[in-house]
Amino acid sequence: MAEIRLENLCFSYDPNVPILEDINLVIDKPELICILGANGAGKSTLMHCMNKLSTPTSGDVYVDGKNLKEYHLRDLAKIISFVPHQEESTFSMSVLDTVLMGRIPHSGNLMTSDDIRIAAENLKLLEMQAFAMRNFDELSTGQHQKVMIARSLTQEPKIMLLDEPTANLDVKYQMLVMRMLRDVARIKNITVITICHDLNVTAMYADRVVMLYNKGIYADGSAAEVLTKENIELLYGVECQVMDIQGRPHIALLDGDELDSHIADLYQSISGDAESPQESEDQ
Amino acid sequence: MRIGKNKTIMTSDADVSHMYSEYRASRAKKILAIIVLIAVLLLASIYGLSVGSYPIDFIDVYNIVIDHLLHLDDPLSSTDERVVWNTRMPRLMFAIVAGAGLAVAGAAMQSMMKNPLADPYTTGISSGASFGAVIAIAFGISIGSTSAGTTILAFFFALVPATVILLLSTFKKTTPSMMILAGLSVMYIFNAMTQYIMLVVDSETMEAAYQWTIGTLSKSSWSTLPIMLIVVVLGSFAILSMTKYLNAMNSGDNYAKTVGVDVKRIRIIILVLVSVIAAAIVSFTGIIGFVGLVAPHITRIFLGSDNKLLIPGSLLVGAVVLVVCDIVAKLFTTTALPIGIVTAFIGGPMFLFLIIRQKKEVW
Repeated sequence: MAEIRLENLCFSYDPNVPILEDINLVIDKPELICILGANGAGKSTLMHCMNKLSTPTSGDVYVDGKNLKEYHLRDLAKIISFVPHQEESTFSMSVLDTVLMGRIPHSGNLMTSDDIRIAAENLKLLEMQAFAMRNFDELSTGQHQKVMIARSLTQEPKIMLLDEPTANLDVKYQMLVMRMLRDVARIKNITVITICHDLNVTAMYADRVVMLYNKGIYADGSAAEVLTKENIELLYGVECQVMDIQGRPHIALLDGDELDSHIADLYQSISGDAESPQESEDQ
Repeated sequence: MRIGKNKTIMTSDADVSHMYSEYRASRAKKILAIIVLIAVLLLASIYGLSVGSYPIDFIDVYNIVIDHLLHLDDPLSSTDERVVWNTRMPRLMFAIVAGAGLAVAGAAMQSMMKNPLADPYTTGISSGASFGAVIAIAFGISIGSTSAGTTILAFFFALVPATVILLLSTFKKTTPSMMILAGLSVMYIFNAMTQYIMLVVDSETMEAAYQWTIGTLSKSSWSTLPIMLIVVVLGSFAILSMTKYLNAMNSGDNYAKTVGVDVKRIRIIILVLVSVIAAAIVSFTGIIGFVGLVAPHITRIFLGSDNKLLIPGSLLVGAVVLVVCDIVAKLFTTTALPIGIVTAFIGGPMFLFLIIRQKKEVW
């Protein structure tokens, strides 16, 4: 298990338009942490600042007490792994070869028997053993996510970062992936930090929720503490009801007045007509 | 090992062992395919040595080659021996080394740039080298009595497109497509300058310069082979040592960084290596298109996209393709048809076939 600490972190592409301001965050437990925020809130940027894909404008990131700036990429790769939003390979390899890429920070140019065993064990962990010799391109989106998680685990990290691993997945696969991530955190004793959009799936599985709003961390705590009606309505600008089901919050989004007003503004800006097409048809 | 309902790890080595065995078996099959490729190359080479305006029996060629390899100090006594060893063998070796080098360069560029169209030709490196060679010929630039001036200028100008691509990636966040487009732009500029030089020189110089622009094996000789051979062998070994980085870069720069790859440094090293390999080949043979582009795609059909197998496989396929093209040039034409024309004739339809059969829409 490793500790990651963000101190007074700021990030901007343009000095006049800050993306993140004065972020302070300590993550030091092997648990599933979900980062929530509206589109453009800086979730991916925050994650990229944790593994050197982006350099903070100011402030510091410490991993196991050592400043990120002092880490060589290869040494950092032995501590932090990353699952991108989607696999970008142009020429796809077999599933097992894809997972074996996770051994790059640890191995020489040739993979050892141990490397292959570790990769195979992680494929098995994610119940993908039947697909080991299939081409990565032949799999479904959900299976792609599982292979990428297996590849990330094969890196044997202490911290796993995932950029929207449940995007484009149906509800069952979203639940499956999040359940696996929570279990992996517990079983392998690693910290799993993931960006999420689905509030209910987050509420169901997250051990800790970090909510980004207005360039900073607005709320940080358990799902019940963070996923409140007030926070959600402020963050996304939609009305909702929050219920308690089996000790976890359950969020029902409402097609209420705030959304009506937003949609009306949108239609007015397009056609000068405040009525939505659906409403016009109904009349 | 899997996660059960009770959140404990259950070990079941049978599945892991099965995956391990399957993986080893798949690797063994691919290594067998590489051995078959070596056999095909040897057979094509011996057949290539027997074909020409002075036909020699296939078995006789085999005996001459084996006999001479076993007794290197013995003088070449018969006409057959002299034709095989002094005329055809250097040409064959040029075809093997040039085909192998261009294919390795193409495979490395395609993985590094994540672009199936990348090769020394489409990135302008070959055009740069050809321009350097044409300048040396047109203005009589030589070092002593050797053709080293042509080689050095070809080397120098081959590095220009690579430098442009690197500079572009320093000033602007470049996508793989942008790198290819930058290479194409430089290629058009070099082609225009080459054509202009050919217009203003006398007809004899123009003919010599023209040879560089279409690619030929007619200048093959034992004396010039070592330079090309050493550069291609060392360059290929250097690229082979970086195959795991190429695999990671194929998954995108961001992913490659997160597994510890210094993407910028590796990209510079690969571009320099590819430029040096291409320059060494083009400075002796001129521009031979399509081999660097097509050979890696053919190899992927048999060996997949893991660069650990793709690079050595492409090396062999590139050599086979160029040896076969040279055989075709000698079999079907009475004149010494430049190899660049044959590779384009064969490589064009072959590339069309590959485009049609592709499973993933990467083009």
